[in-house]
Parts: sequence; C-alpha cells; structure tokens
Amino acid sequence: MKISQQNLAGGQGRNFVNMERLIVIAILVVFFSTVVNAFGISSSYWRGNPYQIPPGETGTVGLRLQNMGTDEDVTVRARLVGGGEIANVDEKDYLVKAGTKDTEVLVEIKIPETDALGTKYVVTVTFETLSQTEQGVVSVGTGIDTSFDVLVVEAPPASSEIEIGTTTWIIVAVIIIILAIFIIWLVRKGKKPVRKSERAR
Amino acid sequence: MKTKVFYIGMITVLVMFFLIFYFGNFNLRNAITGRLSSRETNASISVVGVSPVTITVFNGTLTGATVDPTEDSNVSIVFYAVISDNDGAADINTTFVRANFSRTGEAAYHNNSCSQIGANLNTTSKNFSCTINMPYFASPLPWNVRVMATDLGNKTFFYNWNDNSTFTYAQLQAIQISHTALTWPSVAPGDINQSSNNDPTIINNTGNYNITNLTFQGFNLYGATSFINVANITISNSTGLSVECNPSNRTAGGTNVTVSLVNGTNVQIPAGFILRNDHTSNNNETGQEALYYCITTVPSNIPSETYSTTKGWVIKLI
Repeated sequence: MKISQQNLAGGQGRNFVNMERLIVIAILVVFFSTVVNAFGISSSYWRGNPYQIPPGETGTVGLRLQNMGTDEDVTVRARLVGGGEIANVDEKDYLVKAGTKDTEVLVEIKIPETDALGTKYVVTVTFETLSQTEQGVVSVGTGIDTSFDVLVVEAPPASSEIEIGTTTWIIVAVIIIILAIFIIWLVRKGKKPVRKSERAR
Repeated sequence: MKTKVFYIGMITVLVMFFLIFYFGNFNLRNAITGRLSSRETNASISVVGVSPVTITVFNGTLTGATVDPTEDSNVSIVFYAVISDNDGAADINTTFVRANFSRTGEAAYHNNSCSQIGANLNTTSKNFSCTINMPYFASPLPWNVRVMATDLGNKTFFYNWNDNSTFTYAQLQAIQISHTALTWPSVAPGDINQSSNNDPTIINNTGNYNITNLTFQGFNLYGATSFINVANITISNSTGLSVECNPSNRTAGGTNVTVSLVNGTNVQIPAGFILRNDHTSNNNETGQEALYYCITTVPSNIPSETYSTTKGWVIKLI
C-alpha cells in the first residue's frame, strides 16, 4: 500500500492544504497476491461423530488436505490448538500439490488408562496457508480450524477366531480317552498268546 | 471278533460326532476351519413369486467405508451388485438395474442405468457396476445404498430395502476466496469513509460443512517510519449508502453489519455463516458470502512511502 503526499510549489497556508487535498492523487491500492486462494480438509470424524477408543489405547486420526480448486501448489501450516492432553500432531508445513486430495496429517490419540468410560475430549487442529509477503502487497490467506470429538469407550471383545472354549476341551479329552482305550484294547488283543494246538497246525 | 471290533469302532465314531455337535456348539468345527471371525456381510433378499429376483449389493471398498468428498466438485462412487434369478440369468432384465444413494431429509442421488460387467457369474447371476456422482455439498454421515432390479418374467420391481448397505460420506471443510486486486478511488490524506470501488471478495463454501463462523484477521501496515492502523479498515457483508463504512450499523435484530479490523485478532465477519450448498448460482447468498471494504480514515500525517505487512491477512473458517 502506498500513500503519497506532495508539496506543491507556490501555495501557502490554508490554500496550500486545500490544493493539496484536491490535487494530490493518492491511489490506494491494496494488491492481494493471489487470484484464488482455496484448500480443504476432510475427516472421518467431527463434532457429533466421535472417534471412539478404549482407555489405555493409542490410535491415529488422519486429516486429509485437499487442493482441488486452484492450479497452484499451496503450503499449509498445522498446529494443535485443542485437546493437547491426549493428542499430538507433527506441527510443520505441509505441501499440498494442486489437484490432489490425499496429503495426510496424522493426529495421534493416546488415552490414559485411568479414564472413565464416556469421557469426551475435543481435539482441534488449525491450518493456515502460508502467503508470500512482499513490499506493497497485502496477501490474504485461508485458514481452517478442524475439530473432532474423542470418546472413551469399552474395549471390544477379544476375537473368537481360534478360541477354544472349556466345553470343547472336555469333548476333545473324552474323545482321546475313548480312542486310547480302544487302541489299547486292540493292541492287547493282538498280543494274546497262541494255543499249542493252533501252533501245531 | 472282527465284526465286534468293527461295531465298537463305529460306535466310537458316532459318539464323537454326537459330542461335538451337541455340546461343542460348533466351536471346535469353527476353530479348525480357519474361518475369519469377521467378513463382509452380503445382504440379500428374495421376492417371493413366480420368478424371484435376488439383489446382493457388494463392494468391500464401499459398504461400511468412508468416502471423501472432492472440493468444489463431484466424486464418482463405484460399487457392484449381483442380481440373481432362479429361473436363470437370461431372465434378468439387464436394461433395468438402477441404484441410488439415499438419506432421510436429503435429496437422493441416482443412477438409472447400471451396466453388466463381463459374462454371467454363473447360470443364475449377473454382476452389475453402478456409478453415482456425489456433489461436494452432500451431507456427511451414512448414506443408504439401494439397488432396484427386475426380471423379464413377472416384471417384479424390487429394492434391497432390508439390508444394511451403507457408506459414510466424510466431512469436508473447504473455502475458496476469489480476488484479484482491491482498489479505491482517488483519496487524499485525511479523507474519511472511502469505499473500495472494485469489491466484493467472494467466499465460496466448497465443502459439506455448514460454516457458522467466519473470521478476518488483519495486521497493521508498516512503513519505514510510520504505520497505518488496520482499525481504519472496516468490512461488511452489505454495501450501499456506505453501510460498509459505519461500524455502528446493525440489523433490526441487533446483529453487526459492519466491523472494524483489529490488529492480529480474528474478528468475526458479519453474518459469517455459509451453509453447505451449490454456490454456482453466484447470488452472494447460496453457499457464498461477499465482503465489502472501507477505509474509514486515511491518516493525514503519514509520510509518503510504501506500507506493507510481514504477516498475511487471513480469512478463517472456525
């Protein structure tokens, strides 16, 4: 932004000031450095649709950056501004290439073991585009605060894919015993001594 | 003797099977089959009639999955449905397989011509591919996947109403700000209430998030020896009769129409809410917001030089 004041020769006192205000042309121009500024953030979790995790567990929520509305790459700075007691994010600049929607920012969630079921947290990450600053130009960037709920829930039951219950073990034991008895019987039967009369034949 | 052994052996085997299936409750059988504890669930339902048609919506990458919207555009969602007819695959009407995504309170999105993929799966089934375009402003949360098919025989039309085929459309927060250069008409030091002559800045909601809080963060402009306080600049969502220059302007309900910027502070944009919608009507209301600018006071005692800021101004969605 440039402001000009010109001192005109030959004018004195109040007339000088009036002439100055009439004649001086200060064209105030504020240039925004970009034609279009746009980016987006998609998330599988948000306020009212929580990320659910049991106490003592660690999980990850992915926030996906998009830059589909412009032809230029955009750099976005991420900062964690809420929920820091359970969340952690790599606070750095992320380059989001034009025409892409898969630049992922990972938010690590770690829940204390002592948390009660039903405890709710709100995690907020703020994103702002980085604008080039230069003399005479005021750049306007875009910012988005993304928030999502985290809900502490009960751990799911263990998988029963290869679980063998007590009843099954009993059944297997019974079967083995029966087979063992049967085999022993067969073996002993096979070892019975042959009578003399049968040998003579 | 051999007969006795044979009968004892048979009895033993029969006892084993009895114990397994009566007391084991299939646990042992399940444990040794290597079957997974979870698998994709194919929902199917049959029409009871002369020529029943079975519809199975199947796509492991869609059912139960989350799909990301695409900023300011549509996303093409592909899924597959198996149509079966006990009277034979030839009895399936291949020109009448349709699909939609539906959700209570929302407009549905349709495909009226799903297409068969490849040859018949078997003597009674065909596989169809359906593609439905979802716009960026469609509601987040689960959407129902519905398929309708019929056969050439009894002309039965049927949707798979009773299965649980759904997918989740993710939330997308996105805005697009359009601007080239902001200019003012001829001004002089000491002038007041100078509106920009080429605004507004257009802010488009290009996601499916209902924006209820938009803020504007400005910073003072500094020269070598002086500065211009950004509080001399006001913004408004209205124009006409210099309304954008008067911070005391309010609606009948007392809502601010015009606000002054504050150095380094997120100032709420008046009526800064843009509900998710198709913004292409470009009426400054539907899915869109317009911002107007005014310099309320041009400082009269600042020297002639270039003023700028080391921090960019930010329009922010909160």
